[in-house]
Amino acid sequence: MNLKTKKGQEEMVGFVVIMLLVAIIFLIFLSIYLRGAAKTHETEGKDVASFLEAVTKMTTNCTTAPGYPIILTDLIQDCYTSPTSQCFSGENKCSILRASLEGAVNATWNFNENSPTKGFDLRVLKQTPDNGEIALKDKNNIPIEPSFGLQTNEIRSAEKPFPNGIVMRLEIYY
Amino acid sequence: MSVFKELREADVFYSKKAQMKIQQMAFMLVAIMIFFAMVAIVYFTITFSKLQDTASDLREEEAKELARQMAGTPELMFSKQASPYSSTVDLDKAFYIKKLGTYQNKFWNLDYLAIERVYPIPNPAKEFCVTEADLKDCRYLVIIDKTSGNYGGTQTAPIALALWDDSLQGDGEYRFEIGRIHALAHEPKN
Repeated sequence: MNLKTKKGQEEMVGFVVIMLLVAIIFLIFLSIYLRGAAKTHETEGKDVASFLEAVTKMTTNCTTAPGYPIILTDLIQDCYTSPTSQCFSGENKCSILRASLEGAVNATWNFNENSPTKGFDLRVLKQTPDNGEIALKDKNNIPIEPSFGLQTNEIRSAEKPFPNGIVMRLEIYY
Repeated sequence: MSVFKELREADVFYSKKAQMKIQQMAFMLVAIMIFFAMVAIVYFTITFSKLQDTASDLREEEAKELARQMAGTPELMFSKQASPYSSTVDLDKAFYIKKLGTYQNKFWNLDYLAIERVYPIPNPAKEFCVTEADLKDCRYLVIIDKTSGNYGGTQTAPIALALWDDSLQGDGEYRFEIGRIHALAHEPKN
């Protein structure tokens, strides 16, 4: 009777060990899968690149004289060379640059909880000699970095280089 | 005689025990098989759903590529002094293309092609560009529409728009805006 009980106990222990092993293996696979899913997924967005290409050609509200508007590429260069420079209307060129970029992104994509796009982050950066980047700033020392909405892990981004080591980077959060 | 009988009874006892063991093993094997089959079913269901997502993403991307390519066709692309502007649609050219019957038929094999002005935000009172005068502030210029109201599957891509503005630089100059091109490929009928 004692021998039978011992054997039964051994079988139960064996079964429990097998179940534990299977559970541990399952948990390891699950954690690997979840870690992969939680990672930030950044891909190059063709739509974002097309938008940046289009926005650089855009005619802005900033004019040098009545009827002589500046395109966005020139506005970026003017903002970089002289952050205090003004349009004919008296507004700061860098402020017009920020407003134009913000308006263009908001008009192109719809950012809310029910739409596939959740938010954006746009930066106009100047590359430094030590491979760093600093944001272009307006006359009040506020960086040209318009952003809106939620920052999720699913990102589609693109960059557009300009003369003088200036880069415009747009990230759209999905 | 009784010794033989005892031996036979012991044989029966052992064979019964062995049968039980074999049955136990068989049940265990079946249980393991069912377990792995369930795991495989879950794995293949996830993989297959991902594959379907990838396929639909690729189809969508292909359709989007069509929209982008349309912006680069000579009929719509803006060029100034013989130098073409990539991904820039000439809105004035597009307006005249709309009037030509050739492009309404099977030239591009499209069911829907439209240009939308996005930024600066157009006049909300002028949804569609009907006359040439509307081009200044209208929103949609529909070049081809053979959808009968079913626009499902239409893909869009951001583009630059160029249009002539008489008020600029005294004699007039091109104004560049942000727009979107909408395109729907013609579905082949079986």
